[in-house]
Amino acid sequence: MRRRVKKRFRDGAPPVLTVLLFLLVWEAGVRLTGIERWLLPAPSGIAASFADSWELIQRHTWPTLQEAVLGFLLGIGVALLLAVLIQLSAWLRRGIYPLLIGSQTVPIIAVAPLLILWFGYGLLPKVLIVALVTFFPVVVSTVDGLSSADPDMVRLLRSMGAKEWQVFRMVRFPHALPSFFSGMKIAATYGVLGAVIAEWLGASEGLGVFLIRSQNSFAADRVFVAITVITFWSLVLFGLVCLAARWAAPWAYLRKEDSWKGEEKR
Amino acid sequence: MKLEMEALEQSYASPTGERRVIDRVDLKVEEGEFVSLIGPSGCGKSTLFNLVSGLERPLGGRIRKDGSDITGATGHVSYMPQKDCLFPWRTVVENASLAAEVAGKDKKKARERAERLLPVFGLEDFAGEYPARLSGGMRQRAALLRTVMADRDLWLLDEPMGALDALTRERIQDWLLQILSRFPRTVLFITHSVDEAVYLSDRVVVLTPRPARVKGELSITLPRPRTREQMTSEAFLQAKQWLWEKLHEDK
Repeated sequence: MRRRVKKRFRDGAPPVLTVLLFLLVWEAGVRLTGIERWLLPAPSGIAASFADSWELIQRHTWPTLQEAVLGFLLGIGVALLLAVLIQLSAWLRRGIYPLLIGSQTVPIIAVAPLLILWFGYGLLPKVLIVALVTFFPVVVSTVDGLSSADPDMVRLLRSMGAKEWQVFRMVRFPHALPSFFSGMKIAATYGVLGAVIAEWLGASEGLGVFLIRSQNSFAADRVFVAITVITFWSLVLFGLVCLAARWAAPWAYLRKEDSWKGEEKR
Repeated sequence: MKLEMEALEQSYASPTGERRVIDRVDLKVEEGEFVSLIGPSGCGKSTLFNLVSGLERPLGGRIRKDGSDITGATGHVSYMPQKDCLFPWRTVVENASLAAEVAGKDKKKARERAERLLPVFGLEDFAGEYPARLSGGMRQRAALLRTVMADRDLWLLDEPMGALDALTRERIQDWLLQILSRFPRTVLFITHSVDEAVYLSDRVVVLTPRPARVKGELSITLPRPRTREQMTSEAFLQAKQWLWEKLHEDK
């Protein structure tokens, strides 16, 4: 137990110290050079601004989070469905997969205005945009996971007389879980960002709106506040995915050093 | 007759045309017999197992088990592949009850039975552990438990000890013999080791290099239960000598 705490400290201290040092240099730099506040505020200034605009931030955070989470869930739902279909049918694999890859070369920022034209300024187009950005990494990694199951395990199961759906449920699907979650981790970091970009294109509230308004009023400190909040929630989403992964596939996280090294028993 | 292979033939398509892998193999295995197949690497032994387990359909010939035709049908034998093939997402007990689950039997009953058998395999403390936490020998024993739990009276063991170190290998060999005296089964066993073949088997079949044909066979008359001391006996060494010469005959 104590060793684990020690290890946490040893692994955690360097990045924390680096960030602290960075903030210190920033603060000192701003004070010493006397650079304009609207160009580059000091960390202390940003903190003060954070406190000042606390309620405003909260009001704008909620819609963005809602779009991000709903879009993320929709994105992975669609991704999972597509991945299974692509795995099950050779025809779909040939028909859909190239289109999927192709779809990623279409810039979302160019598609977004269309969605707003079709669905207005409400929640729906934003959720759709987030889903569009998040589903791709999940589909690709899940398809990879489903198709890379150990052929020997598949043979073993078949020799027992297993049907194709049993092979899927007992080998391919569990084998794909870790890949599915790594795709989800990438998607989680895109989620909040996707929602913010969607809001830039037309919204009345949300962190994206807060960002644009801060920019228009040359409030660099508020821009930094928004950046901090976006980063924070992206990390929270990422952390939740990590927790879900550990819950759903605990076996994938067994470390080598935990393995049984005792005497062979006869 | 437990198992009969009759004029089995198999070929694969290759860039240079058809390539024959199995060439008219005839082999009979009696109830309760332990038969080892030995031959040069890549001679088609594993293909032979694929045919018997029904994973592949032969180009020609028939496979009969207990008199009925099982050519190309899965689910009649218990197959243990080269690697232990334990599913990393299943605990020891869950891995052991795999075959029962495939057959759609009561999951809970299968797990209870697996737990009762764990002590026989020295795994009683590891029921709920994932395979990643087991040592090589323990994994092999868990795979053997899974094979026992499959409830087939014919086992195909494809070099199950190939990946183990020499010491663990000897232990698992003795283990396998113990398990077989407790759960009598008919065994078809692939190995590269002449020693292992003689030590474990009632009969050793030597196969030719690809395409595989039966080149000769030898009954091992050493008394059972087998002991390590027998390995230095005259009979053991003679059997080894004969097999060795047969294997290297036309080289």
